[in-house]
Amino acid sequence: MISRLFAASLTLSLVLCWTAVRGVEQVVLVAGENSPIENLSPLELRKAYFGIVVRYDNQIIRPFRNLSDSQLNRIFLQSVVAMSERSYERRLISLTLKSGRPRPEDFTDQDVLVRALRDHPHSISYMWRRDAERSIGIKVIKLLWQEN
Amino acid sequence: MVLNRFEYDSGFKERGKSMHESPLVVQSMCPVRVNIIRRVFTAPVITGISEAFVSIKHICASLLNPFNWTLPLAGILFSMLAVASQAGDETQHEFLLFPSVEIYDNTGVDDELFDSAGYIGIADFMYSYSGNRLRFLGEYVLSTEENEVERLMAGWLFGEQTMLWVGRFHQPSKYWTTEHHHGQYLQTSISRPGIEEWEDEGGAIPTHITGLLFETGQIRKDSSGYQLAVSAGFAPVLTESGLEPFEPWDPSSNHGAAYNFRLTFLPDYFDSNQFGILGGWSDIEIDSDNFASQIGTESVEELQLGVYFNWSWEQLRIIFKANYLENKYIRPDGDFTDDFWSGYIQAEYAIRSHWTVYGRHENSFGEEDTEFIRLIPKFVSHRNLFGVRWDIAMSHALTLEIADTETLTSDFGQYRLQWSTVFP
Repeated sequence: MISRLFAASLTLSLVLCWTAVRGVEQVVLVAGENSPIENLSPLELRKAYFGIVVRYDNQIIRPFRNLSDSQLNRIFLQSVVAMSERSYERRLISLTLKSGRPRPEDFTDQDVLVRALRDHPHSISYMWRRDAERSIGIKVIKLLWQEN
Repeated sequence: MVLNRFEYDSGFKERGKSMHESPLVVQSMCPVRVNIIRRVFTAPVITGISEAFVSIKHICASLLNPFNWTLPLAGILFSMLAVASQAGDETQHEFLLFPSVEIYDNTGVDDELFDSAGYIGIADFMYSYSGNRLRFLGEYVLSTEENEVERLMAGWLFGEQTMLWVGRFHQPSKYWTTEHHHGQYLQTSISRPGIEEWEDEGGAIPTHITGLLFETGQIRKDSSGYQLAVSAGFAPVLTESGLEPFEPWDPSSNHGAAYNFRLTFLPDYFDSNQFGILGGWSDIEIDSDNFASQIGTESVEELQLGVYFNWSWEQLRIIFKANYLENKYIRPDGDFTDDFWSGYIQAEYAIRSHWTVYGRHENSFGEEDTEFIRLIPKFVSHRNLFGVRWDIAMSHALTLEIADTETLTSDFGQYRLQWSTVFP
């Protein structure tokens, strides 16, 4: 009995320690550190990721998709575009065919994505907060999602 | 045998019949042409040389007809000005390829207009260039049936959602067409409804217009919004086999005027759910090889109005459209008018995530008494169909479709099997 209680306490302690070390998971909107973009509303963000023109300083905002992490992609689809992956991809293709509007660029390598954000001041993307804080040359614009 | 000029001009088969394009006028304006005519008239083999003659005649006519160079020149200047004005801006390019292969069997068809069986391979190429203000879009279809520049347009972006295009485009009042264009993979069914057909497939409403297209839209804070598209340009002509679009690069191509619009309401601007009204007016000139021209009809003024919706509830999706068409026939002995209705309803039901069953009912009322439909022999007036689509992997689809199809002169069954996809 005592050994069971000890095992349960140990497990609980480990879980609590892990959570404390890891912190609460967050997804943030990011841009290059020299980007003039200060904030974007949820509607503007959604527009940008559907290829609809959103301007900042009279320049069109270029949205980049971060496909380096499948869970991050799921959160993006759920909290930013509010569509399943299949519906979103199909909608993008349809809108591009209709009016030639460019689709968001896809990045599967986060290092390449960070370089692209630095190179294009009017571009935006999203990533885990821990990754954003580790990356050099980008800034966090706003919080997009937080683990409950 | 030596032909006199009158006989030659009378027998000259071309579609353009307006004064500025007649060989008589072109000859008087182009010295090169005079020499060619002399040579042609004295040559023993007229048919061989006439091909060269036709080419030179087209070049001369093209140069002499302001209409034929004004539009391309305006387009080039517009593009150069736009590119120059936004030097330094970031640009983006998009390329899409929609390949599809279809095998079909028409059972019980007794009309030579429809093959009893065969296959169709299609590759639809779309390229677009986007700058800060300028956008360019081209769509080209390469198939076993035809090769055609579908769209070729340059647009200028005013603000965030207002665009003015110039060039050749699919006019906005044909909902199905402007939703899917030639992207076969994007439409659930293999066939498109008769009232939405392309001109050369029995379409009764013009699709390809050359001119100006204005598009605008507004998104509200709750994500709902509207879109408005208005176009003005050159309409197709009615030939022996049906409507034929105006070809800006063919100086003999004839045309009247066409005006079209569509107003769309979207409860969620980013979703495909929508409803709206649409309409248009086209002055369709009649080619001399069409029977209507031979009995004196000069042109048909087609007015069309319609309503439509495309709505999804969970796995169910309904697409509906109803069109009223009124045709006014312009004749020297007095004009007359007739009209008819045509529409369709398509229901799609997604079974699990990769299978979709669908059915469509198409119907027309009063088309038997419409002169215009008699002049478009391939127009599908009634059709009931059933189909199954299997979406394989991320972007491939296999579709099987069975239909009972009626035109004014035929009633036959259609079986189709198609593979379609999109790259990249």
